[in-house]
Amino acid sequence: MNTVRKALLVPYTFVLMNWAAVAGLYYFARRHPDFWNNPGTRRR
Amino acid sequence: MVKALFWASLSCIAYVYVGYPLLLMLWRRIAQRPIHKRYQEPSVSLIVAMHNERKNARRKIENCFELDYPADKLQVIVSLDAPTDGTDAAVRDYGFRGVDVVYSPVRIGKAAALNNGVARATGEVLLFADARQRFDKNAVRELVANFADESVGSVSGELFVLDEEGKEASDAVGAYWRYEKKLRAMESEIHSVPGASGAIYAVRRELFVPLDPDTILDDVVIPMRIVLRGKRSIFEPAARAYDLASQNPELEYERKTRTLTGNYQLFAHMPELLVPWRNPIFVQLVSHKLGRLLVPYCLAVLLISNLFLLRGFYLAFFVCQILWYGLAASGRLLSTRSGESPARQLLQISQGKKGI
Repeated sequence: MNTVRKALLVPYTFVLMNWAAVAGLYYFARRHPDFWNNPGTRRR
Repeated sequence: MVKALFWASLSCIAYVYVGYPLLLMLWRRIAQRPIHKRYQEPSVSLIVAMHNERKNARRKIENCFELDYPADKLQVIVSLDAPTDGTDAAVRDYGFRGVDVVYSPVRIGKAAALNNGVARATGEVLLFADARQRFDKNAVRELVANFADESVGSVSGELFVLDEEGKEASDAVGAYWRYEKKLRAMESEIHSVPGASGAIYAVRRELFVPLDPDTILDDVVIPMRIVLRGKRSIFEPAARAYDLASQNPELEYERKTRTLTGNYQLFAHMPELLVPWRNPIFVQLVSHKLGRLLVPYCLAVLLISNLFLLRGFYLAFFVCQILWYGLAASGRLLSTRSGESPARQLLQISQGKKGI
């Protein structure tokens, strides 16, 4: 079951990560004021 | 026309995820540039910028004390950006143990906090880290050994994303991260990586130029500035840092959104990066960073153009696309069952009710 779950999360993660690029453009265009609030948002 | 759009978008996606890695594999075979690494002990200033990091601050500083590097050559600087959760109290206890604390009473942002930290730095090498990730004991030694090579201006360590059992994460996010690290390793062998891991990267002091206060991705801007000055920005897999995997893809989505917003900012603030004769890693930057920004639009064009081409191969391809997005929807439902509803999280993010 865990394997099935992991396999199903691959396309979902792919779609979500690509949606992040669209959201990124939106935030950039809107000059989103603060990417510092949530320390969990930093990794790479 | 529709066919041209279909094939152009498919080619773009295939190049970014498959063609570019294959190109790198071939490229490094014919044009590998080895690093002349030599173990040495230059003075190092380790700079950590913190806002509200009460949970991580003590652990991070203790981790700095555990590093295998001469204490008299390792300056630890914590640059506090108006914390409101007691991080300052947690950090000030360490002032007696030699930690330099720089305090800003008003919010200035991460980039400005790093600038403040660098202003206090005395080391020949600046080592940047985030509060949450833990360094391997020999990470500093492995990073600075690369500066024996005069062509190297910046070195990024390797970040391991661990699951709850302490093993490298094997889920989709973990797999993506391993793929990303392979790309970086190959790019490093050829010339430079377009960016570094914010959790662990070091630069020569003389190459650091203060960041614009609104900079989102210091870990891309600093290495790319160094590359534009003719030095290399490399990847050192022996210098390790560890982080815990996101509990679900939605948290990774938040990270990714921030990173990709920063990439848009990078191209807007540094247009010279898109000039092939100015940027020695133009191909790598366009393929790795710009390509990723274009893929979602290519995916949309691929799906829409396929709607007008529903015969033979195109019909089969369309069915595959629908299946793929169907599986993604199933994955979303599965993800929803574990923890807070991602739909709710995403809604809050898109409505600006939740910070990213």
